Amino acid sequence: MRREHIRSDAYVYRHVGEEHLLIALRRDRVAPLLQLTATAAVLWERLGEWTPTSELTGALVERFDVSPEVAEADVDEFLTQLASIDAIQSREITS
Amino acid sequence: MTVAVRSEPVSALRGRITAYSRPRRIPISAVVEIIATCNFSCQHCYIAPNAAREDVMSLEQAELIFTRLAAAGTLSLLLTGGEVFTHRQFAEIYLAAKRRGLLPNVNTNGYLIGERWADFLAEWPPEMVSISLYGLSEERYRTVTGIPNAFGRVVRALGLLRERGVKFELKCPAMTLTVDEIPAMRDFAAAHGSSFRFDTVISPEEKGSDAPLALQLAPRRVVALEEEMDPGFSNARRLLERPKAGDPGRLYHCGGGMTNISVNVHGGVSTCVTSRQTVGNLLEESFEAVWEAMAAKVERRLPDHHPCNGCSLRPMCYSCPAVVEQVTGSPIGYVQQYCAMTHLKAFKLGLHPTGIPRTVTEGIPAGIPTARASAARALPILSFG
Repeated sequence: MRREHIRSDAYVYRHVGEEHLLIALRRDRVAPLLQLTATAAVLWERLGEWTPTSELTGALVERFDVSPEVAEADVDEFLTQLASIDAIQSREITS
Repeated sequence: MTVAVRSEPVSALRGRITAYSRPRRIPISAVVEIIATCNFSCQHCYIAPNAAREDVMSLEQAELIFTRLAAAGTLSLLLTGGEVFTHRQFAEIYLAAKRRGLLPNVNTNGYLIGERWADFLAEWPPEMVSISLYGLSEERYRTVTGIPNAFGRVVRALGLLRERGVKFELKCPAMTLTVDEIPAMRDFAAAHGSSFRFDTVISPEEKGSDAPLALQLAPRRVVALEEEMDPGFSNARRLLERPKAGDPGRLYHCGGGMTNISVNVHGGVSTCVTSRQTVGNLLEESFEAVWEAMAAKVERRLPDHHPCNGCSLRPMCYSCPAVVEQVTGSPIGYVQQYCAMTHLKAFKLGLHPTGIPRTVTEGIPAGIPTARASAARALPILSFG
């Protein structure tokens, strides 16, 4: 089953200093301020529009010296984290 | 490779961002005045007494300023006034800041915070709501603010915010009208789950009279209050022990114009909210142009013969270029009252043999601007007996 993802509007991303920040807009978030690793920030940028999981994995393979298997595992874990803080929406790709 | 979302204490993160920003002059903290008028008529106020109806920032102006500040690297934003909750578009302005990834803080007198605003702040949390407290009774509030039945409304606001988990702090200008209640205010704040701070330097009106300076506490009273509130002067000791960075002869040794920026209701930019002399306008010029003009101001050095040049007490001094500017018209001025307060505290700390500034015995060097006549008359008379 192929899935695609997009950022939710629950957070605002800022690159301040050397920090990649996710700033919560509303209450009841895990924390008002979260950080992304630099690698995660690359994926976050991609999530500005609906993006299939495979494209996120491909982005990591293309940009960093990493095998497809490792990239896939990292992307899965990252998406799980984002989902747990309501930072993304996901859906199945039907076509 | 780590692809992850992390959470760490905000203080640690902020420390790292500040360390990165200072040498690069990134304005990570901003103050924006969105309205100059107020629903209180405080005797000590430096801004509202001369404010006119048109001294209000529009939503569109606020959006432009927030966009420019965010692009320049600002993270923390203090919305202030006047009284911000009297602004008809406060909610929209506040949300415009949040949606640009700014972390809003709010200065208020608390009077207008009822259930609706408390719910709003709970839903869209600020970093901090900073509430000015002017006494612990209706009578005292009426004396300071001119408004009847205000204390009860402020107490209610504290309860509403606390019930909803909105972070707030209480603060008070320590002046002749409030000084006797400052220790009790600290206890009151603690009982409401809040921290408390007080400020002992009163500024003159921005465009009007120096009358507020008559409310300034005399040096002995300031130091006595600080000792009562902080036996051992641990705050002053901490300031003195901080590693000294940069050029000691530099006029500005705070974050003003370096990591801090202040914008008034008309877009005018100054080093901090205390300084009312603007170096440019963020509604009319690019951030880069304004910030370059700011550099010319904050990179100035103290004249060699200035009494403060080389003074080891500067880190704990009550005087700063912004308050001096207010009283003398120039950031390079000198106000003996502030110097006397600092030296008296230094005497208490065992850091000065007499507690008397040398300008008292040797005079103030020629060419150094001093308090204008009306300000000098309003400030408390110095006595070193």
